[in-house]
Amino acid sequence: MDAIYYSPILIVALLALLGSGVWIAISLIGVAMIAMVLVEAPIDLVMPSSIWSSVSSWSLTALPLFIWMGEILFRTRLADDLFHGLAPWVNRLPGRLLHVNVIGCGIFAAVSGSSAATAATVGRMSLPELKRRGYEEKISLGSLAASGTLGLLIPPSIILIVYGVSANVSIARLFLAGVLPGLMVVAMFMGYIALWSLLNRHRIPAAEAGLGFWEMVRRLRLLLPTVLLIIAVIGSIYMGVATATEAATLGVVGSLGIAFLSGSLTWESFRLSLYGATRTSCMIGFIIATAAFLSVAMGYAGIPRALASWIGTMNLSAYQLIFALAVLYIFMGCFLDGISMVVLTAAIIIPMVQAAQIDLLWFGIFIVLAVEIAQLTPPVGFNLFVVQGLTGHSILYVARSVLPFFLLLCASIVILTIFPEIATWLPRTMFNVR
Amino acid sequence: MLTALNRIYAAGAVLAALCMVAIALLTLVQIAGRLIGVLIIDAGEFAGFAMAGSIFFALAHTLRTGGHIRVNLLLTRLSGGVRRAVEIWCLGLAIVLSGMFAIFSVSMVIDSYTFGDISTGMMPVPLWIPQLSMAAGAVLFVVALLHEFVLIIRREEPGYLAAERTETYTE
Repeated sequence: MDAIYYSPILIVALLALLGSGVWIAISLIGVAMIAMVLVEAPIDLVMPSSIWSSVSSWSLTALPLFIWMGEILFRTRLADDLFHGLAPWVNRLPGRLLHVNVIGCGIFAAVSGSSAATAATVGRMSLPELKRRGYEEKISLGSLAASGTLGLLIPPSIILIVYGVSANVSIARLFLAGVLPGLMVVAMFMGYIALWSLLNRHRIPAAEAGLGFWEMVRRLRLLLPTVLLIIAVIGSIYMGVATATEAATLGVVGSLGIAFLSGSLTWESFRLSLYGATRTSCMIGFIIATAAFLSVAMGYAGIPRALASWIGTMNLSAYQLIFALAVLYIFMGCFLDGISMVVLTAAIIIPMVQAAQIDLLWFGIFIVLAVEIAQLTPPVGFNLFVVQGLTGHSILYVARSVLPFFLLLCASIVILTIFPEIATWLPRTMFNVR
Repeated sequence: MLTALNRIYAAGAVLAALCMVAIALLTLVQIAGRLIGVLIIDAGEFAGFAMAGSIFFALAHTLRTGGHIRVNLLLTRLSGGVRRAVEIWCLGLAIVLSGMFAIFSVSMVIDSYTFGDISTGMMPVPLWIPQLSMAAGAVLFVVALLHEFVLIIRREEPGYLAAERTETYTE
């Protein structure tokens, strides 16, 4: 039987397993098993060895450490400091304190690799404050849910580590590739908020009494340790003095230091951060492990090869292929979480992308933008869930409020496709990679 | 019996957390070694072993606390008997597939032991030792799944369902 005939069986099996609520990792094992049985490959040998070698890897160790770093800072006063430090500075911009959502998420994204955690941390503080000051709920919810997705793009990024490990691309280079697109999205979001506010002046509360310049600086000082930590972590990767894992270790030590200095480091908070990180990294690691087995199984079944040559016969241009993939991802993103999207990609789509001579570094950033969009599309969109949890509004209300930002993210994919250098330029200037 | 099991899952979580701390410490030692010009051999490889340990030892605990994600789009729309039937299907399938994973892992460790496989670093380690984390973690995971299965058959609430009711999104 030919690979082309297996594919529909496997796709149906995958959808049935995932759809019926079977855990994602278990579903991936199930599909891999079916593929292995169809081609009569030795499951008993391939399964444990592919799972073992995928997770007993040094390059994956950046994952738990960056998760831990975020968990530590999540339990400090950082969210509070972000709001009070940033608010006086954006007070005069059109859109005023709404910008705190975007910049706050941008900064938190640089210490946390998770999109939902970013939205939850910043939103816990900013949503009640914005509401109390009379900002319209719709735009504050929308800007928060959308800005939370920056957690995926701005390094450190859990999803980029997952992609790097699964697709065998340098994590350090991926992190650097995410910086400029991340800043671009920040600029687009802030631009939209400013424009919206200029067009809807009456819907924005008046500026608050300004603080003195030195008071503003004093408040900003609260953020200084975090900003220094961000610079140290990303800078050490950029300068080529640290690998992603070493930078992550630096991040853990630094964030423990920040927690200690701000008085929020207790044995209890340390323990909670450690367990929280262990559980999250176990969940992600298990998915990566089972996806590695699925990749090998797909390889036995010859599916990626068949798919790549099938796409090859269609003579698509790279742009057409990227467009088709973007549509596919946005569709998948309505139902699947980001990590599953990335590991499934690595198992099936990477060979096709390579055959089309698309840069895998660039493609990583492309996928992350697609996953960001996926976080915002109902019915399954993690950031929508987070904001729903914070405010109690229905998911459809949150989804509607996020719509303009959703369109901006779609536009950012188009821009990234036309100007790939936005992603690929910075890693090229990186200092001697060790 | 069930409290004893809960203690074992918790012990697994402690081991996993210690593995995570070990990754950080090994990396720190490596950085320090480089700064003072001492080559720390194989720190990367050992960190990799700790990585595996931190995942596999925590599998059972993560299951019980609702940490493993799944698409519950349809599930949340079901209730009563249908919901229970679907949960039994999920758990049953997970037991079968994870059971195979556990059996194959154990047999891989036994193979590594009999054939004397060693790691490729400068300081060779018998591979069955770090691989034990996968076998032990997989077996414990199956035990936890069976535990949840028994609970749902007895019409009690499994740990993961209780946790999912008060979900926090971790991605």
